Amino acid sequence: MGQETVIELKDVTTSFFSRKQELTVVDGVSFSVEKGETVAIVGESGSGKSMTSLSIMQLVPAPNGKITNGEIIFNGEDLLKKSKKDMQKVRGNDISMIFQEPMSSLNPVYTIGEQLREQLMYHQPFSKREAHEKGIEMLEVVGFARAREMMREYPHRLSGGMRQRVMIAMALSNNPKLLIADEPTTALDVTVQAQILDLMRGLSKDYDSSIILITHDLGVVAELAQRVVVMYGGQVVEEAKIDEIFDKPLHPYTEGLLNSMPKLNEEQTRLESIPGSVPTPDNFPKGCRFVTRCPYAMQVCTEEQPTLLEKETGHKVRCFLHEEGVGKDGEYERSS
Amino acid sequence: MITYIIRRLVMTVPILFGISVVSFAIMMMAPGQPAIIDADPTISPEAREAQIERLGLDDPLPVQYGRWLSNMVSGEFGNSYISGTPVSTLIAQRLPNTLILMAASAFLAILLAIPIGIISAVRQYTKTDYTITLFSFAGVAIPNFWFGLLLIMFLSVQLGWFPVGGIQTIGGEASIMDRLHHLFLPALVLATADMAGLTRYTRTSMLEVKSQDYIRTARAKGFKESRVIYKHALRNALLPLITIFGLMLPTFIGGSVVIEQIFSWPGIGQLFMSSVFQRDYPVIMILTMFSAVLVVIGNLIADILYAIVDPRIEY
Amino acid sequence: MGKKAHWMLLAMIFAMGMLLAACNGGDDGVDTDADGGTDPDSEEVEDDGGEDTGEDDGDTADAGDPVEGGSIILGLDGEIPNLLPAHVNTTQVRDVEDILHAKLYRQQADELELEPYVAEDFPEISEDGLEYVIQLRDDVYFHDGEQVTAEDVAFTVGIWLMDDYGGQTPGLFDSIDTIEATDELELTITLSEPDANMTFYLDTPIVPEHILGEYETYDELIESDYAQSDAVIGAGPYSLDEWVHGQYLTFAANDEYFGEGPYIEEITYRIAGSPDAVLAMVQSGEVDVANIRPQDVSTAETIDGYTISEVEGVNVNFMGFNHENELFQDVRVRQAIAMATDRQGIVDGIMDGHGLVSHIPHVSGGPFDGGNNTEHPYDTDAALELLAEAGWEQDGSGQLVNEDGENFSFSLITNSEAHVRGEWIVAVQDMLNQLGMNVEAETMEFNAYLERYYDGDFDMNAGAWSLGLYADPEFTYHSEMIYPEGGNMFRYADDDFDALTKDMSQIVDPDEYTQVVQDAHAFISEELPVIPMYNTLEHQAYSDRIQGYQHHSRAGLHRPEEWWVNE
Ligand SMILES: Nc1ncnc2c1ncn2[C@@H]1O[C@H](COP(=O)(O)OP(=O)(O)OP(=O)(O)O)[C@@H](O)[C@H]1O
Ligand code: SF4
Ligand SMILES: [Mg+2]
Repeated sequence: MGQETVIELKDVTTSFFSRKQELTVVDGVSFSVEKGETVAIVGESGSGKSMTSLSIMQLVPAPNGKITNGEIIFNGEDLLKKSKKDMQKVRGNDISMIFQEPMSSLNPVYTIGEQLREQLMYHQPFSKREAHEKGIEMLEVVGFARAREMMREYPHRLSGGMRQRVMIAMALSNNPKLLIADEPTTALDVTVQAQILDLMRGLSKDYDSSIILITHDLGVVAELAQRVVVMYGGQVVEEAKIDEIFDKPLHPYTEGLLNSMPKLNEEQTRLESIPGSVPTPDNFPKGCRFVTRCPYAMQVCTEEQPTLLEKETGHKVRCFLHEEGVGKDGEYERSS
Repeated sequence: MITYIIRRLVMTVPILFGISVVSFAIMMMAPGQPAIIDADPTISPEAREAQIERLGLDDPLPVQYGRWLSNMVSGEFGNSYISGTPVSTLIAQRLPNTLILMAASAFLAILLAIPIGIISAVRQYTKTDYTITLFSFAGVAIPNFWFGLLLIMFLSVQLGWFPVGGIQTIGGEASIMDRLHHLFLPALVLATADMAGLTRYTRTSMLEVKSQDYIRTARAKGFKESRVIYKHALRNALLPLITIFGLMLPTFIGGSVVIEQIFSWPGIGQLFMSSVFQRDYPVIMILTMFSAVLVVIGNLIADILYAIVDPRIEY
Repeated sequence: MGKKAHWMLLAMIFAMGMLLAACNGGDDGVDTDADGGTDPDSEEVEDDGGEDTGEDDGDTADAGDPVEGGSIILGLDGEIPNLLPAHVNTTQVRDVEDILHAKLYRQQADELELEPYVAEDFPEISEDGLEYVIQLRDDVYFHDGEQVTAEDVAFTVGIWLMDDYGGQTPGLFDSIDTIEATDELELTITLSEPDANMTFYLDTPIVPEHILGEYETYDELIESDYAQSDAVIGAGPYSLDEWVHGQYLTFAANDEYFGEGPYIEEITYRIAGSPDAVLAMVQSGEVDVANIRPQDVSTAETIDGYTISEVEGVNVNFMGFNHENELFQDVRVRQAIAMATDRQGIVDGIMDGHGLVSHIPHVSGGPFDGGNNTEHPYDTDAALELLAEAGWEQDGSGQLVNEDGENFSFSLITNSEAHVRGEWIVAVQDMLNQLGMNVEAETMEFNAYLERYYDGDFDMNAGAWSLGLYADPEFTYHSEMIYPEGGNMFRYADDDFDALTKDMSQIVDPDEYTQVVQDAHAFISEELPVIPMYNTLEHQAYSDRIQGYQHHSRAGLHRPEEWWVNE
């Protein structure tokens, strides 16, 4: 990777503490994002995607949630070592985030204009007028024709897609080096989804910004991402370039995800989905977290945790099938 | 908006009608006769009958109610049996005092309760929060009159910091300071019960808002915590409080009845109490209706205000 | 808020008001000047102190010669609704009238008797008792300088006789046929039938005909400025300067006053919201004079700069029987109940000594006490004997039963405003239950109590009368006076008593009248249509600045025109 690394997560671990127990929802996650690159994080609901991104922002819900371990290197500095104040300078400025729920992510009592201007003026020495003009410009960038009027509207007057575009406009307004988009299209209907995705693709090109795109929709991944991180049970189970993920997925879970994805060009006879559901953090199996659902599960999988290994250059996987001396000689048995 | 207000006002008519029927019935069914008649058992039966007839109290209840209603609708509120004064004059004499008291305690309640509630919410589950919670439960639990007497004993009688009652120094210049000096304790006591509730509401509302997505958005924008709380959370948290405040009006009215007696505050509450005891029917009825109207209008104003401050609501 | 919620809330406020009034009542209760009047808190004695109450037992406290000037403040615990003398008759209103107005006759300084005030002398009464002639002093002037004449008095009394009279004392002057000024200063009253208490009724304020004469109806009078504002004028020692409703009234010394004084330049009546507020005003030195409830006496005694005065109250607490109840028709039963009730024990134990046991339903030792009463001293053995004679004997378990095996059970009711009465009826219940009776003591709101009292819906009741200067036992105990014909709530009917008191109100000679009252009281003390309990002692705190202080239980400020202050 001869490119410039924008952010690198090393062994990030995040837990929720309750009186009774500690629930680790992000468990030793490591990956990096290069400049101009879009990295997708995929995984089923509850696999820790949002918590990973909130960990980057240090917005894990207080006071129960805490980042307990790891480093997040951004611009050569460990974000986790930054003071509250310095972190505030990073948020909304160097790193922006847009959320899964456009309907509720805008403050209902302030106009779009007020919210846009506020963010601009907070991080940059804009006058109110300059901020206003810049805000209009950003709304135009995200495709509003009546951007000037839009500044005066309250969020509740906008549709979900419009709100998400506003969110994107806000997120981009300070030219962030990294944009984290947490399922930006999940809550929207299909046609609007396509618009938003187009918009994001265009923006990543035009602004050369790096994006962490969180989704459980592999179709979206295929359209936007260059690299994919697959998460399961709070852990990264596979990481690879986009083609490799689709062409030769190594992890049984990835395989399952791909099978459950409608394939455009092939005659679709049946849509497989992975049987069972994601275990919750208080209920993780002892060995491989996927063992309860894995079609290839072996004895060892129930006893020990596999490690994330770089199988080929840039392609990592966490599965005993791919660990030396375990799966090579095909000694696994079907568990089902 | 105008049509909305008109519609709401029209809707209150049957409500007020219902209240008047119920109040009238309760009042007439309560044991005892108006003090103007029943004062003196030495009155001869003829004289007593004549009094009852003169006041129309021998008519069937529906007839009496009908007469009262038609008089009231035509703006004739009648005269107090005891003082002979037109009820409207009595209200005019006393209403300003009660309104001042209520406004001052509302002001105090807001001034103290909202910041305290916010602190409590921001410091959720800390010692500060627990202390505030403790005090606000105490505030709800302590009876107004007891708290009032306590303050009079300590602050007025023992320390001499405040007058023990009344609205102004008798015979002195009626200066604003003097008025405020007299106003403070009763307003404070009246405020406490509501303050406690208001603190809890603020806390709850604030906590709810704090977990909203747009608060996370504000944090994600890098705003410092104080801005997140005071600009983005507060305004949303205060919205429901407007309605709560409308709902608290009745407790205010009820509370002022007690407070006015303890602090010799010549307001509507005092008048209401003595009227009830003396079964001064015309005064009781008008004051009840008056409170009802006050509550209804208070709620209407709360709703209108809500609509003004919450952009999501349109009419 | 939904419509339902509106409804509920308002109903609740309303109910709460009713309830609050019930808990708090009494203070605005109207009391009456006549024997038979019922005052919800004619006393509310309840003490926790224990010391002796005062250096001074009532009447006067002198120091040097009177000086003019200065001011005092009286704390009142009730509103002044209206100052038309004929209208309301509360203690608070009377307190105002006492210094504002002159009257033909007034209460003597110490004795429970009348003395001429504006009248030159007591009335000259004709042989048949139908004509009263009264001469007025010639030196009495209203505050506006007009002389007080017989016309004014006739006019004042005429207010009661107006067709649309709507005040609290209708019928007060019903025995009057005509009343007229037969000369400028001579008033002649003719009655349609003799009325022994006529003179007592004439202790009413005299209002100026030259001002009020223009009003033709009672309704106009009552709404006039004269009744409602500080336009009121009288001929008393003080004139009304300012009246701020619900807050205070200030009075200025009337330099033209015809009697002694006034010395104090300015008197303020400050209206407090409750008796507690009055006490606090004394404690903080904001008022100079105030009545003190029995339960507050020990607190009040500790206040620096004040003296607590104690006088015998003009009232009596009693327990009444409903004579329609067969249980009480045997006099021996009534006497047994009296003897089983430790009255002195109640006065000492519950009222902390702030009362005097009485054997007549009037002021013990007062003008209507002939000293020939039958006492029923506390003696449970004698009580049991009397009950046995009446056919009630204790069974094996100590219960009183008659030959039919019936239990002796009944209820004893009182109103809750007079806290101490609520306490002592429980004590009485215990005392009687120990005898083997089955008594249920019940306490209720004043208005509810009154309704049952008037309707005869009780077995025994405990009450109090705020008394006047006259007594009318016929009205209260004569069989023809059973309510609503008169004030006989007890449904008492006894031929001997009827014979004794029949038409007593028509007795013209005051001494003869008094004799009949005394005899009737002696009769009552023996036959016990009601059991007299005690007269309360009443207390007032007054500032040590005040000299020449006088105290009377019938007045808020007693003859303040004769007081002065040392500044
Ligand atoms: N406030 C919280 N307290 C305790 N556990 C939480 C909290 N928020 C999330 N979790 C747990 O953390 C785990 C990861 O949640 P996360 O929101 O990161 O999932 P996700 O992959 O984003 O899922 P989705 O696709 O539904 O958004 C889940 O098991 C969830 O139950
Ligand atoms: S380690 Fe075992 S259980 Fe886990 S994914 Fe691989 S084969 Fe399946
Ligand atoms: Mg998520």
